[in-house]
Amino acid sequence: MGKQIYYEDIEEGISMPSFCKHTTTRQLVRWAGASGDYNELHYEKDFAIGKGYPQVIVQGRLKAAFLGQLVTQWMGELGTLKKMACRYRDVDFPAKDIICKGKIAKKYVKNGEYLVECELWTEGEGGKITTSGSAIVSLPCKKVK
Amino acid sequence: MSSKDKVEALRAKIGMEGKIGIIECGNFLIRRFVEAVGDPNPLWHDEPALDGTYRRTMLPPFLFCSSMFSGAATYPELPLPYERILDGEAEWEFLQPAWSGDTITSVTKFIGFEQREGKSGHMIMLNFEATHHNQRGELVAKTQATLINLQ
Repeated sequence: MGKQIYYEDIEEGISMPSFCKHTTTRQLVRWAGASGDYNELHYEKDFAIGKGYPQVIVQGRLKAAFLGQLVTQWMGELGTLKKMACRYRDVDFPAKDIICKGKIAKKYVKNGEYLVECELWTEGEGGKITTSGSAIVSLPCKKVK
Repeated sequence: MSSKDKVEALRAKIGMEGKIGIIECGNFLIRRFVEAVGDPNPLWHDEPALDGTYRRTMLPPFLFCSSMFSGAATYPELPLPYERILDGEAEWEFLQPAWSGDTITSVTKFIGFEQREGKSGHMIMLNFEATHHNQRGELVAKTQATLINLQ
């Protein structure tokens, strides 16, 4: 976990630190067990091929959780995640890199809260955006103790 | 029943709720979840205190992204016209923190649908909303989700 960020530290347009997820079929199985999603599309190769995919695909909601990790890691222990949204635009496959990225779209004060709107997304093979999303985070403010 | 009839049958299901989901959110569930994601954030990891007890762990808010809270496991049964189903999009609102030891009750309602033509043909966008309450009846999160039913 990095240093705590504060509202004053943020400028619109800056990027969040990104990270790379290199999923494995084992991770997809662990997510299936942890999340309750037992769709065979994510762990049975023949089933996925029967549905028109070259192999099993990464769960969309696992990618949403990756973006949740990205924004909660960035906001620090004193930040609060208020909202998050995701649109699943394309598939990702295990054993391929999924890059998780975000940037600050807007910052404003509302009802005494110091709020930041973020754009979030995952990039798959060739830099293609496979998941797009957003988040609203409340950050601590240095001048308010 | 033809696809057209099933679309009409869907209309009659607007407002229908799925099975109530009751999840006891202990440290084991949280640990299994964050290990599956690969998230090392110490906020979600139970750490032993010096006296050998464990501190109470916060539920990662994106736990509500998982199916058991707001996915297929909670949706009402609907007469779907087509065989293929994909997650389209979702939005989660986190109203207050949830903690290990909380029991979360989730209720999902089918609120409506839209019909669209896509690259692979006709598709139905199914819209759901879910509420997630803790054992004290406090609303901790809400979900809006869209499932795509397509040919």
